[in-house]
Formats: sequence, C-alpha cells, structure tokens
Amino acid sequence: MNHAKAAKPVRIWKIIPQLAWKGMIKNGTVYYPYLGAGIFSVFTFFVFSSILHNDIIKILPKSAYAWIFLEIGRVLLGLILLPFLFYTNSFLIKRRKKEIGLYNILGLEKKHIAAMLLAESVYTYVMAVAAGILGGAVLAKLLFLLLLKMSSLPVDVRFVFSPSAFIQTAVFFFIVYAVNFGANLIQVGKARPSELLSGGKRGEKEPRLLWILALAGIAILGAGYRMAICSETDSMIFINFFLAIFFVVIGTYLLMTSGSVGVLKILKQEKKFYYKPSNFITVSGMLYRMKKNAASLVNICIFSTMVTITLTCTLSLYLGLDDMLDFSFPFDVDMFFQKTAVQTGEVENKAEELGRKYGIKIESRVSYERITLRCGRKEDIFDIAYDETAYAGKGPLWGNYEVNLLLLEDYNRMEGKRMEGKRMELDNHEAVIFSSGRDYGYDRVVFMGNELRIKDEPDMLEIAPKEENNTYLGEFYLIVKDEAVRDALVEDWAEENGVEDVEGLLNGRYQMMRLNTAGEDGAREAFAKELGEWCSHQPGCARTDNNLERRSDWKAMYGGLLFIGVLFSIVFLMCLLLIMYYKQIAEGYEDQGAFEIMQKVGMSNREIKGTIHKQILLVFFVPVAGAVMHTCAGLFMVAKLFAVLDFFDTGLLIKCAVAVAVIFAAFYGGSYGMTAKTYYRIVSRGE
Amino acid sequence: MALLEVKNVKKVYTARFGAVKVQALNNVNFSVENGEYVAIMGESGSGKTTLLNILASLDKATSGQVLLNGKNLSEIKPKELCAFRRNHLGFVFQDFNLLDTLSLRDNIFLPLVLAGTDYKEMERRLQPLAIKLAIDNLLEKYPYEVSGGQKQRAAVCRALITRPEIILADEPTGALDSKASGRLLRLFAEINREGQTILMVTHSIQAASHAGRILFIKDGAVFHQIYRGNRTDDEMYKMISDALTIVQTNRNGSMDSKESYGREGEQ
Ligand SMILES: Nc1ncnc2c1ncn2[C@@H]1O[C@H](COP(=O)(O)OP(=O)(O)OP(=O)(O)O)[C@@H](O)[C@H]1O
Ligand SMILES: [Mg+2]
Repeated sequence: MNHAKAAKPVRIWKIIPQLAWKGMIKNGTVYYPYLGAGIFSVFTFFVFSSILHNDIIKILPKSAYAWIFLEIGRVLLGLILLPFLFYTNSFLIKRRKKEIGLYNILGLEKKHIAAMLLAESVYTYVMAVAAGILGGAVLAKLLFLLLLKMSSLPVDVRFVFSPSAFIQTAVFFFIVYAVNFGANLIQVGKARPSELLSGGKRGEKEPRLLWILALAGIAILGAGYRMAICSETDSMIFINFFLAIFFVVIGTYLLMTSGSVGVLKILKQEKKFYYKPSNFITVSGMLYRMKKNAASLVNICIFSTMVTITLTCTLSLYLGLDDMLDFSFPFDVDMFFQKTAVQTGEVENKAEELGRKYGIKIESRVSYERITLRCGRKEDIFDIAYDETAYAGKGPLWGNYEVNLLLLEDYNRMEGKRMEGKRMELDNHEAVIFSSGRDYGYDRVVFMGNELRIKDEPDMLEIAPKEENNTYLGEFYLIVKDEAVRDALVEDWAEENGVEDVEGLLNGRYQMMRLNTAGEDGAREAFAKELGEWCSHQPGCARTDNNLERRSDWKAMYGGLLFIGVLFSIVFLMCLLLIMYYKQIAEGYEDQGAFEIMQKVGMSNREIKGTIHKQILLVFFVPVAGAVMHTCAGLFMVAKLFAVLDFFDTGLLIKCAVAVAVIFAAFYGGSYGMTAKTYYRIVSRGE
Repeated sequence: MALLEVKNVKKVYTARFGAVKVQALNNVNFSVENGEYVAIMGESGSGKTTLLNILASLDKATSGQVLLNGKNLSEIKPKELCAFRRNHLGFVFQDFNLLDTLSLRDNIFLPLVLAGTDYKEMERRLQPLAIKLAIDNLLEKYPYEVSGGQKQRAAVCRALITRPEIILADEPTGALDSKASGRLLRLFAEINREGQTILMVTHSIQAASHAGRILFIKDGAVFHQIYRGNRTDDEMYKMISDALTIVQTNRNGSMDSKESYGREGEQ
C-alpha cells in the first residue's frame, strides 16, 4: 500500500506531457481550429510588427501619417485578437471539462490537471508562435514584393525583419496564452468533479445591469460617431480619429452585447413569435450562448467595418491620386525671388533657353508679386493670428489663414484669358478675393480695421486651384488696386502684430515665378533640376521648388499607403473569414446533439435547414447593418483626414465606398452560404 | 384491428465496407392492441433498440411490414415522416434527450411547436400533465438544474403532450436510481390505466413487472411472451425472472410451446 502510494505520483507526473498531447489530438475537432486561429493571429500580428519596424515608413516623406495608421491598426489588432482567442479558448475548455472531470475521478489531482493544462498551453503557444512567425516570415516578404511590383513603386525599399518584431510578437502572444491558461485554471479549479463531468451543458449567464450596459453603449457609440462626424480638420484630427475608433469599438461591444441579449429576451417573451418552429430553436439557441454570440457579432461587425473602410480608402486614394497631386502642385517649377533684387527677364530667358536645350515646351508661365500674411479670421473680419500652440487664446469661431496680397496689375495680366480680355478695375476701397477653400461669400472684408468692398470673388485662379472641402489648409488671395493700398494694409498688419521693421517686411515680398512644362518625363525632370540649380545662384533667389521631384516623392508615399491599405484589407478579410467560419464550426459541433434530438422528436430536414438559415442570417445580418452604419460615420472622418492630404473628391470617396460595399456584400454573401453549408453538414452528420 | 402490427420484420446491418453483415432482426411478428402496456426484454445485442427504431420510423426494416392503425410505415413519404412521427408517436429515451438550450417547459413544447400548435393550446395541454407528473414547479428550470428522475418525467411529459397513439420507450429507467425508477414505472402504469398504449424496452425485471405483457426477444426474433392476466406485480416479477432463466439457459433458442406457456394465464 505504502510503496504503491509513493510510486504513483512519479508515474503520473511522467505521463502528463503525453496526456496533454493525446488530449489535444483527441479533441482535434475543436483544438485544431483554436490552434489555427492562434497561428493566424500570430501571423497577422507579426506581419504588422515587421512592417512597423521597416524602413519604408521611415524613409518616405510625410511618413508620420502612415506610421500612425499602422500603429492604430496594430493596437486594434491586439484589442481584437485578445478577446477573440480568449473566447475561442473558453469554448474549448467548456468542451474539455467532461474529459478533465473524468481524469479527476480516475485519480488525477488538481495539481496534475493544472500541469496538464500548462503543458497544453505551452504546446499551443510554441506551435502557434513558431508556425505563425514562420508563415509571416515567408509570406510577409512575398506579399511585400508582390505589392511593390503591383504598384510599381519607384522606391527602393528592402524588406528587413527586425528582431524587435519577433520579440514583440512572442511577448504579446505569451501574454495572450498566459491569460487563457489562467482562465482555464480558474475554470477547472473552482469546479467540483461532478460539475466537471456535466460541464459543457450549462448555458451562459445573462450579463448583469443590461440597461446600464445598453445606455453606456449608446452613449459611447454616440460619442464616437459625434467625434467622427463633427470633429474639425485640425491638428487634433489624428487623436480624434484614434479616440473615435476606440469609442466605436467599445460602444459596439457594449451595445451589441446588451442589445442582442435584450432583444432575444423580448423575443422570448413574445409567445406568438417565440413558439414558431424556426424562431423557437433560433432564439433559445442564441440565448443559450448569448455572450459568445454577442462577441462574434461584435467581431464580425468591427472586422467588416475595417475591411470596408480600408478598402474604400485604398481604392479612392488610388483613383484620386493624380487629382490630389494636381491640387498640391499646380506648377512644375516654383521660383521665389525677392522682389527688390530679381531680374525677371533673365530668368525667363534662361527658362526658354533650357527649354530648347531639353526639347520641352514651357506651357504656362506666371510671374507675380506676393506678400503672405498670417491672420485670424472670423466671418468677414481678419485680425491678428491666434497662437495655435496656446489653446487658451483660440476661440472656436476663429480660424487661422494665410492671406496672400496680390496687385491688380498682375491679376489682370494673368487672369486676362479667363476674363475674356476684360480688365478688372478697382478703387482704393475695393478688392477681389479668392478662397482656395470654401467660398468667402461676404461683400466686404475688414482687414486689420480697414474696410474693403469685395468687387468680385472668382471661382478659380490661374495660379491656385480651389476645393470647397479644403478647410484645413485653405488660404485667401486678396487683390488690391496698387502698391500704395497694399503697403498700407501691410503696415497695419505689422502694427497689429507688433512687427517693427515694416520696411524689411515690405522689402521681403516675393516675386513668384512659376511654370509648367510639357514633353518627355525625363527631359522635364532634367530641365526642372537645371533651372532650379541655375536660379539658386541668381541675385535675390529665396527658394526654388522642383515639384516634379516632390510629386514623385509624394507618389511614393501614397504608393506605400496603398500597399499598406491592400495588405490590411487582405488581413482583415482573412480574419473575418476565419472568425465566421470558426464560429460556425464550433457551434456546429456544439449543436450536433441538439439537432439529433430534434430529429428524433420529429423535426424534418427542411425545418432544420430553415432554422439554420434563420439563425445564421440573424447572426450575419446584424453585424453588417452595424458595419454599414460605422462605415457611413467613418467616411466623414476619412474625408477630413484625406483633406489633410489634399484629397477633396467626396463624390469619388462615396462612389468607392458604394463599390466596395457591393463587392464586400457579395463576398460576405458567399461566406454566408459556405458557413451555412458547413454548419448543416456538421449538425446533420450521419443523415 | 390491432393498433400496431409487426409482420415478418427483418433487419440486416451491412457494414459500409466489405461484406460483413449483422442480422439484427430475424422475422419479428407481434401486435399491440389499443391500451396495452407491453414490455420488451432480451439480452444485450438481441435487437431491442433496432426493433424500437424501426417502430419509431427512425430506421427502415430490410423486409416485412409495420402497420400503425393499419397504415404501413414504409409507405409514408420521407417528407411526411417527421410530421407522422410527431403526431402519432411519443418517445422516451434512456438518456432523456432534453435540449440544454431550452427550459423544461420549452422542451415539452418542442413537438407541439414543430407541429405549429397555438400557444394557448400548448399551455392548456401542459397544465394537467405537469401536475400529474409532479414537475409543475420545475417548468422554468433548465435540464442541467434538475435531477435525472425529474428530467425523465419531463421527457415523458414531452412524449404525452402530443397525445400519441403509442408511447415508445427505450430503457426509460436505465439512467435512474431505484427510487426514481419506481416512481416513473408507477407513472407509466397510471397513464396506461387511463388508456395510453405503451411499448417499453427494458432490462429491468422490476420495470417489466408493471407491464401487461412481456415479449422476450432472442437472436432477433420474439422468443416468448408472458401475459399478466390478474397477477400482481410481485407474481409478475417472479414469472419474469423464471422466464429469463429459461431464455438464458436455453441457448439453442428452442423453447417448447412458447405460445401456450405465455398464454396460460390469460382469460
Ligand atoms: N448501426 C448498426 N450497424 C451495424 N450493426 C448494428 C447497428 N446497430 C446495432 N447493430 C447490431 O445489431 C444487433 C442488435 O443491436 P441492438 O442495439 O438492437 O441491441 P439491443 O438489444 O438494444 O442491446 P442493448 O440491450 O445492449 O441495448 C447487435 O449485434 C448490434 O451490434
Ligand atoms: Mg439498446
């Protein structure tokens, strides 16, 4: 007796790793999907992290935006993967309770069972991380190369794997699996053997304080929507964007959890509705696993939203890229000279000469005098600018704008063609105003206390494009009669702003010389380069912009963004597919017994099919409805974010959104059919 | 005309691969009259469950006929089979077969819901039954919250609520302790006295001793039967155990005058 007792524990400890391994294989039907989900999660997370640690982000201009997008994406991914794997795991442990209870009764103590669970967690973690990172290492590079080629990016980016991507992935999933292991321990630890044996039967408990959850959900979701729809395009936009996403995710979770449970409860009380064959099984089944159900509703909804928003952004960016660049760079070459020193004739001659040398045509050329003053504006009053770094001084009704002062003489010369040869006449108290954003619309302007009557507000200028939605970087062009009028305005501005060297300010005004070229691309670039080089040695040259070069820089950046967009879309789509598929498989196995019983009691295959379709339709329609709403609200945000990037074509954005929605709906419908079929196959096994 | 007639029923199970065949039923003949309480006994593997599944139209006989109220089960179209099962037969299973997703009330309603019965009508039928089966204060509970005996009574309630012509029960006491078994058997006897026809497969002599007639199945055929006549349960118990001894010792399956032996107590 004694030595038997002493020998036993040793043997038990020895067989535990094996027991764990066998248990996993025996429960393959539920374990493999869990493992698969884990591998895929690791894969996704690793691909994200790898890209985040890549130079493509760092070497490109304006990369901060792209980096923020990626970081937001990764945080969201983590936020979603954790509960996703947690729920998957909780389903698993529920299924295994019976087996574990049996082990317990057969003589395994709680500590042995804990060790077995630990062994399982370790196996799962190692396999998931190894396979996920391996797949990530192979596929991320492949995807990357493929997409570089597809978007014919001129940038020479090498895809390098950073060690921190490996470490972060390993650490993040260590936490995920540790949390799951802890949850399993708690589940098994607090259960009695008898309960363990009958595990997997108890329905989920209703969340407490349903009303409060629902109200909180509505409030938080509303706040997220409000933020998305109402927030202004300003320096806070990215923080608002992130907050809005955060609120919408949390709000969706709360609302869909409480809402789905609440609605199901109401439906159950509605006897006439509840006691109809297909509703009966559907409603009771969904109530039975209401939390898991709600979690999948939320996951499907969030992922659908992410897919549609990402695809919409990517598609519209791709289609609107040329328009954006045309807006940002109306001229190929911009030359800034000090008015007092410039030799305009020489510059023009040189441009002609270089044009002949490179065999290109100079298409449109403008030359005008400009002073740019920064002002704060409220309605038709322009006053001193507000310090944007000091929040206290900035009233909500005041915005800061650049005001370009131009002379009537230049205006008539440059805009003559548009005005069909007519000349604009102004007196000392009149002005022409042009806004590169929303129409100005007032009939006067009070500039630093000087009132000028607006004689005209043209819809377009040769020298600057206009977009109604350009609210963030909008600027004004104020054309006045002559230098005397302008200088008076500048003096008043200087006085208001406390600038003492008025002379210097006036002498610092620019002669803008800008031109467009036509011809072969390489020749145009060479021309722009040499002209810029030459100008920099000329007297009074302040700066030259080679916009052809900047254009290609920007194109590269957008190419990078597009690439990220496509990658994200694929990842989200795969996630979504996996979630839907896995949910159906898992529930199929869970429901097998129930459908067997129902068939014995007299439920026909047709009724079973009807029930299944109703159930799946509900589960799949609700999140899509949510996703459509989220996408609509999200489009406001996207439009504003895009405005920062000089994308103003809201019509295109909406068209893309509709196109994406239609394609997505088709894809979604396809997966719906597929999951329904799989589910049916599982529950009607043996029929 | 008998309520249920079983004529020359054979059942051969064929393995999916290879030619291995199992003759589960070999020419079964018997009939059940309206209001009878019949128990079927036999060794493990003798074909009792197979027979019951065929009677329940859950499975098809290889040959032979099963008539319920003169209607041949094999002539019912597959589409109508479910409705037929729902409307004419009631089932009680060894492992209760209650759905965990439904409260006991809704489990009991299940066949009626599938038949499209009005909610008020369902309630009307449920009330007296629930009181009789002593589960009226458990109706809102879920299967995992009640005992095995209570689960089985709910299952009986589900079988009775459709007012079936015959109740088919496969080892209904198999998963119950003796106290719960006794209670369930008294219940069966009671509803039988009220006119309900019952056909019950059982291993337990105790369970069978409540029945009005006992069929013994051996090697896929009816081997012997005992009629209760005016005997008490105790007398029945003794007779059944004697008969079982004979069934089990008589390995070659030849039991002389099985008809006369069984019928001597009748009329
Ligand atoms: N689906 C099947 N396929 C093949 N053979 C089967 C199948 N079902 C039952 N059998 C065989 O048919 C015979 C009768 O089985 P059945 O289940 O009817 O016995 P039983 O009398 O109910 O036994 P028990 O008292 O153990 O429940 C057995 O030999 C069994 O192995
Ligand atoms: Mg059996």
